[in-house]
Amino acid sequence: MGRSAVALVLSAVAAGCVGDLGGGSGPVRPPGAGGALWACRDTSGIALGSAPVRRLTNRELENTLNDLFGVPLPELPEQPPDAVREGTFENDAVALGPSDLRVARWEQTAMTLGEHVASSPEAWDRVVPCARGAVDGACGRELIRTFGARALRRPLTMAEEDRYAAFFDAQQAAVDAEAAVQLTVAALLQAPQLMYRLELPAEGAPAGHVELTSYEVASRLSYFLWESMPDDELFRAAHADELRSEEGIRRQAERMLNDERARATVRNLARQWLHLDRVLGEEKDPAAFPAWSYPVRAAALEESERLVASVVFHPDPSRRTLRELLTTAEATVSPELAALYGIDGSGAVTLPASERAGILTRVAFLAGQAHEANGSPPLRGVALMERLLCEPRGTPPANADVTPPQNEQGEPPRTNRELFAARTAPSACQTCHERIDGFGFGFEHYDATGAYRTTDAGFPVDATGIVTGTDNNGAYDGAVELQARLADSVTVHQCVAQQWFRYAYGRGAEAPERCHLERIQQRFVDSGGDLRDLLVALVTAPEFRLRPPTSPEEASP
Amino acid sequence: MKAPIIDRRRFLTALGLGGASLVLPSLGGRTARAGDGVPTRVVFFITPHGAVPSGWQMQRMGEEQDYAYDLASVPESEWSPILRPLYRHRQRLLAINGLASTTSLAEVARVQQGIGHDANAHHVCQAHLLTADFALQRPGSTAIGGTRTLDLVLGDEVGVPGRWTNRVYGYRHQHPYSYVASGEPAPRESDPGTAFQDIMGLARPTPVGEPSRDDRIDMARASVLDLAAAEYEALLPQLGAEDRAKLDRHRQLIRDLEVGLTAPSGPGPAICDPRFSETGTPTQQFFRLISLALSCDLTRVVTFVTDHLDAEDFGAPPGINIHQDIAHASTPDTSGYSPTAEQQMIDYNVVYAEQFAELLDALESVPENGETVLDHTAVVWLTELATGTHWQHRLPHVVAGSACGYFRTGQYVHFAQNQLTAQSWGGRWFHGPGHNRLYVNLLHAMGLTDRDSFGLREVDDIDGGRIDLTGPLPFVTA
Repeated sequence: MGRSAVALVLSAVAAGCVGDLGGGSGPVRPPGAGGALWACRDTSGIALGSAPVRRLTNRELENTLNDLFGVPLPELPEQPPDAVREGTFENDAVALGPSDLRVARWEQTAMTLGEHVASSPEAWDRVVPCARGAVDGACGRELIRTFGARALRRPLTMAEEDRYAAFFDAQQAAVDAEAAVQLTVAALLQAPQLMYRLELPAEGAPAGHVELTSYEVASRLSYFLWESMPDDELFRAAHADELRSEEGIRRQAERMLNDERARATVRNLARQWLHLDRVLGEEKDPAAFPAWSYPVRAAALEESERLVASVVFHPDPSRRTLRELLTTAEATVSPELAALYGIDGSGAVTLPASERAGILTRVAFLAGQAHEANGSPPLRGVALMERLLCEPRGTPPANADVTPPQNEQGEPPRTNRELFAARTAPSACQTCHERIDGFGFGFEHYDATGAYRTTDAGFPVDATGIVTGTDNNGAYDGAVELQARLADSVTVHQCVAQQWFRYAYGRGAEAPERCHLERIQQRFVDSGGDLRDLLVALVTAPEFRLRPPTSPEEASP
Repeated sequence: MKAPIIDRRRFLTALGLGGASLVLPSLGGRTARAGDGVPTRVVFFITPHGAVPSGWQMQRMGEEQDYAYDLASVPESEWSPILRPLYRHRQRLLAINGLASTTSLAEVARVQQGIGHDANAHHVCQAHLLTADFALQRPGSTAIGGTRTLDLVLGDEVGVPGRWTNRVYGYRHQHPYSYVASGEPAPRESDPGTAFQDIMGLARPTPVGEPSRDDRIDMARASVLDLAAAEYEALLPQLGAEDRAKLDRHRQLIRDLEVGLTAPSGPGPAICDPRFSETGTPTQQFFRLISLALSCDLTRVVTFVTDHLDAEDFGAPPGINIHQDIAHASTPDTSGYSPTAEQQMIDYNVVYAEQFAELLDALESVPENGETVLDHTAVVWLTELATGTHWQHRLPHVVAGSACGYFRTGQYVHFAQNQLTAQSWGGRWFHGPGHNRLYVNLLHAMGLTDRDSFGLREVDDIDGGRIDLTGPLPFVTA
């Protein structure tokens, strides 16, 4: 369904094409309404962006510890928060660095886990390669080799092994053998190779780019698809050096995507991409919305996260598409949420398709992008443009009135739309609001909590709008039609691929890698917007197993 | 993943605390102290949405001239509503009206010229509040702090080896105010109990008598850190410049922690009471914690980001949105101006003023060298913006405490509004000196008298000239 729809739009765009953009060796795409859709002319060359070291996020650290030691873990210090700002991607490589507090709490974490290994028989058996009471120098070295290779996510060099072994021997002499185990585990947990994803110079690096080792690729794969360390099979593939080829990576990626951990990752990605957790902090006017409560908000977040994962991993491969995400009426809802949706029953349900098709018609988005008393067309429009069109939000002039408009006493009643339209009517406002409200007014069927309504202030709801700035512009009536139009837009597909690209690399796409990004976007469009395939495309691109040189010496071997 | 970092009771038991304040030899300062041996400290108290000029200012003369007057000469009844809760501290107050976030105005002008991406007043001003420098601007991202912030820089300079160089406590307004490096927010702790565990985490008892096995394992923590730092050192030569800088900071922080665990106890005059009680509001708990941290010399620089208020806290109708419904309508120059919103925003700021006064009470309650900790501290009330309507000029500043006699307290100072930056969006605003010149005063107060600027040294004015942002502010020093 999705494939044919997007292909149709592409045909339509191509039909309106007025010619070649000129030059270059690769295919040149026609210009869309918002400018050229495609700019890359080199479809085959390597196009690399930067590859900064990436500190593990708190979620990655927590998952990594669970996988290293097996659950349950002892109580551990909470790490300082990662996010610069709520609603942004938390794995932003620039923002993830060290701080005094993080170093101190991680030290305490490492010491607690060292003690855990010494005191928990299960943890001991998982980590220590010899029986309690039989610990000696050889056991210590084997511990460093085996546990160390898992903690550092690659085999230790002989020099590293010797340094940790010397430490083990010193602690054995100073305290005792079991203490040496405990302290060596704590030391390995504080190694830079655990806290950071490091991709170091390799032998014989060619000019221009550096091929990652299979172990480095294994970490790229596992932290993108699982937000955790590699498992035994991935380590085996790395050891067998199978991860320096597209096929080797594809095989592992397909396996990993069938694991529950990939589903958890997609939910986490969706939460950040669409700022779904904004709904958790949304208070509503208690007089107007007495049923609005924290359990409703939590259920709304759960529903939308689950919806994204259920689409990406849909049993029917043809329904793993962006179109499905923007048009489906299927949902899994709690009783509280069912009441808000006005349906009977809970669990897996089909919502009224004329009211609730697509993720933007769900409570997490609608109530998250709203004021206390009313829905907000500007908030909803801006969020849509930011998240699905990759257009950063602008800034109103300093003296703009951005309070929610409301009818003053004695005035004749007006709808929410009329109030906002009057507010943004001045031409200075229309510069931006013509587009913003063109999207935002489409959500007028949903009140501040996301409940559906057919009238507002006694008048029939007007939820018509106009999509602009995409390759699929035009009028629509209501958010269901709006999303159907977005689902047919190449611009929207490009943006989604760009957002997920950002999550994969921990940074925005950079100018030198435009062709890399466009190849990913092109494949996403060609696949009919297959979201699961987008994940595969991201990790099987040749750039995923390369990085740029880090120094002049490396660039000129 | 949450648990206490150290066993507080174990720590207190080891110190033999019976409830009274006491001299803590192990917590005495070990490095140079200002003046007569008492350290100078800084506390930043940051509130959101700015103030309301009509409810904050206590004008005596026109806008176009500098002037100052004695606060004690003004009867309490004539104090502005927002400053009135501070009346009891009038001898220790320095109210400064008329500074501007000149650097953020310059950034907005740059974005208008196509340099950068995000000109949102909240984002830009949050990024500039403690950097006074251009934000980190990236496509598809909002503007965030682009350089190490004043609180961390001060901590670097006056911190005690083995103690926390600074602490950031409190809540999230939107973007962070404190950054360890470009784009990297400093960790902010919002739970006072956890903050207490952190601040005391380095103060460990020395075993009495023959160390037990547990003691010996505990003592080996420094060796573990030594090995960890050495692993970072081995790695650094293999990294590119930016990565190396980041991991070198990590290495240094491990070394600092190692020092904290091994530094010998030394004599010191500080009197402190390292107890913590989880009574009162979290904000009140934080105030006691700040008082404890400063008096025990566990840190010398604290940034406190205030909690959000509910409408009920300042008598507004429940469910009202402070940002959208009140702040944005609180000055007469905005088209949505509402006198009701203006009054509500004044009431809102009064609550923060009362909190600020409580913080001063806490610091004043700790005697130190014949004075109080407040006398040896500069407590600086900063706001994200000048007003809820996004003014970036006529910032309201309050400095309380003289920082060991550096600031001339007990006065109200107004700076003339006679400069224009290149920023003209939404009107051309005359403004006063850059807020980062007050930061030069703070650097001087902390003994860093060779510094003549913080952040940007100059920006364009509207006529193509330059606005100088160097040098300390006049009139505010003793």
